[in-house]
Amino acid sequence: MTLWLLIPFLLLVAVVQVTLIPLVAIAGYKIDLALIIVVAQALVGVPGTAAQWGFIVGVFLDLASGLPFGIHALTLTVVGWLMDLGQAAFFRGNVLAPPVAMISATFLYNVLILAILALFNSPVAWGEYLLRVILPASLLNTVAMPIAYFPLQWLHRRVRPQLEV
Amino acid sequence: MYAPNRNRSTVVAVLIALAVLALILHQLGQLQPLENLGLGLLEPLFRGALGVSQDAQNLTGGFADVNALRDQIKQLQNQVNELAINSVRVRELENENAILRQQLGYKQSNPDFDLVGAAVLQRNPDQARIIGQDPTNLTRYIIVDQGDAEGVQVGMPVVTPQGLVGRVTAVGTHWAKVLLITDPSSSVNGVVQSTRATGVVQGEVGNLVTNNLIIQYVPQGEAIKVGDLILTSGIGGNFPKRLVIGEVTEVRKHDIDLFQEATIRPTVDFTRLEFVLILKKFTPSDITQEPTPTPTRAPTPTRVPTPTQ
Repeated sequence: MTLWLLIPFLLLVAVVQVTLIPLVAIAGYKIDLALIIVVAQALVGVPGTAAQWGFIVGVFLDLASGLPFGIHALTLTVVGWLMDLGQAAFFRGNVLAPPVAMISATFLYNVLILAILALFNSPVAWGEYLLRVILPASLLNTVAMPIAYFPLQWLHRRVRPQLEV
Repeated sequence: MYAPNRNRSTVVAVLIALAVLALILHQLGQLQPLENLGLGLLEPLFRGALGVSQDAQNLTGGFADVNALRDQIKQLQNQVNELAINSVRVRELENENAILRQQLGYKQSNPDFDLVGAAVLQRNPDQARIIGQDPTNLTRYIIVDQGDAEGVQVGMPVVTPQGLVGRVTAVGTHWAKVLLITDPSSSVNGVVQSTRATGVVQGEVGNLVTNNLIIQYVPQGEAIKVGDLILTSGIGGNFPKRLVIGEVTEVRKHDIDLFQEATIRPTVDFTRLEFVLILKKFTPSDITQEPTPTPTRAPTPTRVPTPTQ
């Protein structure tokens, strides 16, 4: 029952990420909506489920990405899992949790993608990417996080009994 | 999907293993049918979402005068683009004229040779609509709605009337993924229009705002200046000759370096791409016919940017 709600929702997130988000890019930088949703799920959702959300939305993103299939599923699963652990260990009840989690998740997500690309013999200029892509993107994602955080928090308060199987 | 606490680590481990397996199978080329099916199923959703976004854009920009101004700007921009392209054509014709005169002189001074002129480019373009873009800030891909069924194949060049867009890297039944020339892993052999100096055009990391490109490996002795137009050289056979890539905006030259490099502003506005043309057929250039030699060692396309000064 839960999956019937979850899969269309995450499919919608992936479709928005691929089609609409590029149209509202800020200074050329795109918001990582799927990543924000996964992090928000770790912070306000059912504990221990962000990795599953990451995997599902990651598979959808992989279909639309030019990168090797599985790269988004893998990175978003790992990020979701680590954010779940972070929520249990550090973030719970901390007001700084959302921005700190978002910044660290954006770094982790992008670095993991680049690391996998490097693994597939695609040399990566780490310094340039960190300074010129990942840092601005993490700030943008942090600013954009309330877009997903508060609606998801509200949604979970409304439907949590349904989602907690 | 929601497992009890004690099993959640196992679920995560299984999901990670599945994702790693998918990566390996992708590398082995075994996932193509699944990717084809998946993106085929998602394609209508992408189209629908884009339709909704266009409607929303029209609503939000609902003031008639704003729309009128927008149309006017678009028309003027088109005129500017047409003029720029015409200017390129005229200069290319001038160059061609000079080369032909040279060849004519050559033929007249060698009357025993049997020489024949040849057509340069044969195009059979299909117009493709862009239905999606890469989800990350790290790479530059677009998805277009023309695929295998329409005769699109991996490696085909993608252009607009303004210039070169990229190259097809993956194809499904009715979709294709196009690596843009602004991606840092993209690599195109380019030529400076005025001097015929050759180099390699690559995307620049973090060029999200400007979408600028860099032409590298231009030998120190070659002249290159701000305002020069960069065209495809056709060397390597991946792209036709003389497609416009962009205009030089900055040249970086150091006496101690073997090569010089320059920043290029692409003629294509990658932030407003809606339709592109896929070149299904063209005549690859013959490297032996090039007026100027290429760098001796062609660099491997990588995701390494050139440090800017």
